Amino acid sequence: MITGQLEQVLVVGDADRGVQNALAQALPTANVTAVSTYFDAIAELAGNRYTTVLASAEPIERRPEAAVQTLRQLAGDGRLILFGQPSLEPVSRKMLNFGCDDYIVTPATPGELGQLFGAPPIKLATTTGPSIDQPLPASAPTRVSILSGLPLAEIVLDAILNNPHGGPAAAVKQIDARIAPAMQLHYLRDDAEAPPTPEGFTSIAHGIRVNADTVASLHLIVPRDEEESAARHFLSQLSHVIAKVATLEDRHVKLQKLAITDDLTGLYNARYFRHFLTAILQKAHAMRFPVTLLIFDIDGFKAYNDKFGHGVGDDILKTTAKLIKRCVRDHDLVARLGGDEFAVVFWEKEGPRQPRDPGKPASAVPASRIPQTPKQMFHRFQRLMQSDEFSILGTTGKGQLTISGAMAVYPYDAQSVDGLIEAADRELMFNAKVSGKNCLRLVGEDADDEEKTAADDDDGVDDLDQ
Amino acid sequence: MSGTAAGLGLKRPVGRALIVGGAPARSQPLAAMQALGFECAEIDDPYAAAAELFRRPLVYRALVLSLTSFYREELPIIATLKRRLAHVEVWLAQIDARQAALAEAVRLGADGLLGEDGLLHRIQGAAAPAAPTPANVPSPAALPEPALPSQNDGEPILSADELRALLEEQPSLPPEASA
Repeated sequence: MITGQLEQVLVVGDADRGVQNALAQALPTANVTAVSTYFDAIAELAGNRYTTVLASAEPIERRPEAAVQTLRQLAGDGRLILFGQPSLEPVSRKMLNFGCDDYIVTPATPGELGQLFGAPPIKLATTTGPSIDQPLPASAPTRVSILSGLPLAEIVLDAILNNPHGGPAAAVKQIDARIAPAMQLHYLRDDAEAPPTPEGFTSIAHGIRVNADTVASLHLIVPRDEEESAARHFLSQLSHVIAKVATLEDRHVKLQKLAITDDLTGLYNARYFRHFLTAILQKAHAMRFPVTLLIFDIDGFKAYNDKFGHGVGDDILKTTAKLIKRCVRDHDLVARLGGDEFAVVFWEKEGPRQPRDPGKPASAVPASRIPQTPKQMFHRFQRLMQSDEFSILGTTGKGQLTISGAMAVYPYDAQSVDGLIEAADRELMFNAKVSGKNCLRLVGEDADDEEKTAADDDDGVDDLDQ
Repeated sequence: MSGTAAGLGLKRPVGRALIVGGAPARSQPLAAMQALGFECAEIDDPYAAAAELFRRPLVYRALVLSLTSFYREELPIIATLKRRLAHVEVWLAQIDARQAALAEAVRLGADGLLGEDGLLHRIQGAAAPAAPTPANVPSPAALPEPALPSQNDGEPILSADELRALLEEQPSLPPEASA
C-alpha cells in the first residue's frame, strides 16, 4: 500500500485549493506542490518526479486528449488523476482512454482522496455518530470500486434535467453515458430482448414498476471482477429512482392526452385542432401542398337534444365521431370544436397543386382544383350517417340524421388559420344551412357546381365503399 | 582571403524556432521564419510544445504561436515560458479576427507579432530576451546555447499606437447587423 510519506503530489489548477485542503487531511505527510497551469505542470514534470499528478479537467475541456497524453508521458509511472465539477465528468471519464488513471468529482472529500491513495479512511473527530466516509469492508479490494464513487443522485438528476420530457429511457441513456465505460446500462420495455453479456462480464437486471405493474427492466452489465453486491445495490437504488421517473412520465402522457382530447367523443379538442392546423399550414407553406379544412355539424341537432334529452344528444355525438373516423385517413385530423360542430383537416401531401392566377379572386378558382378525395370522404360519411340505425332514437332513427359541411382549401381560399376557419364557417352558416342542409359546400363554389360535383363524386364514393 | 563564414558561402542559422498550430496554420509562419534564417520544428498543440521546450530548454530560441489554433485557456503557455525560459522569445502569428486573444497574449508577455510581411514586429516595451541561467533552466541540455544577437537587430518596432489600432480594429459588420 502506498503511504503518505512517499507521496510526491503535483496539484494542477486547484484555484480554490479545495483539493489541496482535502489532500492535507487525507495525506498530511505528502509532499504537495501546486501549480496553476498545465504548462507549469509540464515544466515541473520535465525536471522532477512526482508519484501522483492531480490535475483539474477544467482548463483542458476543449483539448483534453493532447493535454492528458502530454502529462501521461511526462509523469512516467506516476498516477495521473483528473478532478473537476460534475459537469466535467464526461470529459474526465473519456480521458481514462488517453492515459488518465482515475478521476474524482469535486468537491472532493478527504475520504475519497484517501481511498485513491490507498490510505485508511479518515474518521472525522468532531462527529459522534458513524463516520461520513464509510470505511472499506475488510474483504474489499484496495482498488476503488467503479460503482462506489458514482454520485448517483447527482447524475440521475442531471440526466432528468437535461431531458425533462425524455422519460425513463432517455434518462437511463444519459446515465449510461456518464457511468464508467466498462459498464453498460440498458432500459428495456416490457419483454424486449436483453442485450448480450460479453465474456468476462455479469448482467444484473431489476424490474421497473409503475402503478404495481412491471413496465420495463434495467439491465446493468459490469465486469465480473466488480463486486456483485455493490452492483446490485447500485441497480436497486437506480431502479427506485427510474421507477419514479417512469411514473411521472406515465402521468405526463395521460395529462397531455387529457389536455388535447374531447372527453365525450375521444376526438381531439378545439385547442389541439388550432395547434395542429397552425403547424400543418406552416408545413404546407414550406412543402407546397394543399390543406383542406372541413367543418360540419348535425342538422337540427338542438331539436334532438331538446326532444330526447342530453344523454341521447351525447350518444348521437359519439356515434357521429365514430362514423367520421371510419371515413377519413389515419393522418387526417378529426376534432370536435364544440356542441355538434366538428372539423376535419385533410392534408394532401401528394395532391394536385396548380398555381393560382394572381389576377383572379379566390372565389374564381375552379372547383376542379380542390382535391377530390376529401369530398368523396365527406359524401361517404353522409351516406354512413343516413344508413346508421341510430337505435337510441328508436325504430325510426335510421335516416333521420343529416349533416351539412363546408370546405375551404389552403392556399386557394385563405392563407392563415383564422382565415381558413372563418371561410369554412361562413360557407357553412350562410350557404350550406340556407340552401337546404344535408349538403357540402365548397368555398367559392356556386350551387350548380356543388350539385354537379356531388353527382361526379358518386363513382368515387362507390369505389371507397367497396 | 577573408576567412569569414560569409566569404565561404556558408550561412549560420539565426537559431531554432518551434512553430505551434494546426497543420494548415503553420505553413505561413514556417516559411516566414525559415526566410528569416531560423531552423524550424513544427508541433500541433501547445502541451506537446511545452513538453518539447522543457525537455530541451536550450535548443530553441523562438516559439511561434499560430493564434487561430489556440484556445484562450491555452495562452498561459506564454506566461509560463516567459517566467521559466526567459530566453525563448514568443511570437504571435495568424492573428486575424483574434483581437481578444492577441490582447491577452500580449498581456501575458508575448514578444511581438510575425506579420504577413514575413517580418518580426517587436512590441514596444516587451522584455528583452534573457540569457539562460541555471536559475531559469530546469535542467542542463546537451546542446550548446545558440548565439543570441543583440535585441531588436533589424526588427521593425510596433509602436503603442500601432498596437492599439491593431487591437481596436474590428471586423466590418453587415448593414443590417450594425443598424
